[in-house]
Amino acid sequence: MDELDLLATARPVTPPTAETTAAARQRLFDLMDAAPAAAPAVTVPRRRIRAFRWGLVPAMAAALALVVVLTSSWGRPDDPVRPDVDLADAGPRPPQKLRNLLLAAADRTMGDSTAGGRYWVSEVESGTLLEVGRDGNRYAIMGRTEETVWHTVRRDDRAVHYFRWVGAAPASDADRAAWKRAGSPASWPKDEACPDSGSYPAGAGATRTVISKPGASTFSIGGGYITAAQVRDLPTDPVRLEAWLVDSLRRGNPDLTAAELSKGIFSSMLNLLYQAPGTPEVRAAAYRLLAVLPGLRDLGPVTDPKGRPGNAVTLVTNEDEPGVRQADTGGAREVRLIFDPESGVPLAWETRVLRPADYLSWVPAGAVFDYEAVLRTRWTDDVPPDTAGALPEDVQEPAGC
Amino acid sequence: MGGLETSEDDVAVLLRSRGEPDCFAELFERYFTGLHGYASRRLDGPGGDDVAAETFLIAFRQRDRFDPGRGSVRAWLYGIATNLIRARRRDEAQGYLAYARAAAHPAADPMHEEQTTDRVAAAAARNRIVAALAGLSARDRDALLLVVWGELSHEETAAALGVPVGTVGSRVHRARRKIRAALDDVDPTRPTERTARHG
Repeated sequence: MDELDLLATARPVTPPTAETTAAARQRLFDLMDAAPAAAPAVTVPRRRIRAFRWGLVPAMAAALALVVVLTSSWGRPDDPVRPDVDLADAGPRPPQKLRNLLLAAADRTMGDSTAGGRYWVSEVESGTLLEVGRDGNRYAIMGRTEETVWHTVRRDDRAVHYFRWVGAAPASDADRAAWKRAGSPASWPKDEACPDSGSYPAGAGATRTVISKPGASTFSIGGGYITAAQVRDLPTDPVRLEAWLVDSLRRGNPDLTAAELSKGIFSSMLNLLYQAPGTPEVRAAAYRLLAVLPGLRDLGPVTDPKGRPGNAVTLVTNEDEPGVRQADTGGAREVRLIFDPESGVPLAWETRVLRPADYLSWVPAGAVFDYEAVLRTRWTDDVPPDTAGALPEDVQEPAGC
Repeated sequence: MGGLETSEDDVAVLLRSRGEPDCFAELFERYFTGLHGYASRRLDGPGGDDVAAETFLIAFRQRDRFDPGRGSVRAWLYGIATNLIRARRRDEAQGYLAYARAAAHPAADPMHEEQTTDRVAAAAARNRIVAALAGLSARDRDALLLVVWGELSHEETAAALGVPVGTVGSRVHRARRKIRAALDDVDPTRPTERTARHG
């Protein structure tokens, strides 16, 4: 060994910690934010809400049909394999500004990393656009529901869902005008042709409690459903998370194209961030994976459906495009993910139908069609309250007509 | 990021960042870890962290002044870091001496009780070399450490320091002679003349 070989291996250092890297990156971002850009940042114009076209199709329940239905045989959340489909084929990666935003959110993601407890309790408000009114004066109302779910971890516990209708109101100014023409009703029949089917009241309703059969709650990630423990064990490295998701999605459907896989990953990230008990590390990996997802766009600062400030990123899904087979005939829609860039906390997602078609043709183009706002999540060792009069999950509501 | 990344070369990224400042972050992602390693070996603890972070702030502010004809983006970044370290050369030299002193009296480590004499000798030689770095001139040390710890070629080192390649060669040669002398002091049985190493 000569002196240069010895020097080369002398005084070794460990790589910078995540905190050191994040602090240095933040100093650079602060400086970049202060720098004037030569070209104006690309902004996405808000779509104007078009005059309504009333269809005859009844309102449908909130659903996020992003891609072809991916049924699957389930695999364990380890042993990722490298994908042999190149996701880069799905389109250009997000612009640098958006990447930076998501990487910063990943660096700052925090929360309850212990994530221990007997139940994971999520409280969300969801909204769905509903078509109401009589022929000749049909309009849209946004119906809102609060749902608190006690998700189980143990196989012998029962998940409990508390639903509460929190009210409905005409969705837009045009809807409000139509509502006034209809005599400003305080409730709306679910089906004008069937009075027995019940109605949507303008005000809040009582809580309906539904209890599930015993079993560990599962969450839709990748091509299948995984338990809270498996969510916590997802890879925290974005490359491995991507490989795991691709593997999982392809177990369900081996023929998925790069574009379909890309949409499937986006859908999984939505579920992982907004509907599953991820650790801060798993959430950080989700943001890092979004940062390279083809087609993702930055909408900048927005407020979520609850009026909370955040930042939105968006992907157009369900488009007629080469390489994607659509099971959903409702037309292209934009899915927005809104999160707090300062803490990485996921706030809400929203969908807008961009080119309403078929069963959604009554939806105003560009209007919020449905959303889900996360109000609170927590782990607890308590037991679910007030389950005495709970309905079993498989009870059918009486069919009216 | 595996198949998701498309690689654009450093110069293209830097030129693009003049109109789209956010693009500069890509260079941070590419070089921060490596540059932090170089800076931290020369200035341990917060000093190395600061130099690594400040290098990117300075580079960002001076991105309009980068000249692709005079070397790579990487060499330019290491040159900025080297200038920052030079401003703290007293801390740097004291750090080498403190490191060598501490390493000469390691805490008892049962995992390493069966160390061979060779390994002990190599560790002692490394400590001597680190201590000897404190005795080099700032110019010679910069050239030597850009080559050995920064893993820059002589051409890149020349670009980083803004000197001709020949000057890098003579600085590295002079620095080697000095640390070799420190080594020979440890192991007097070794011959003093060795074949030159071309790096």
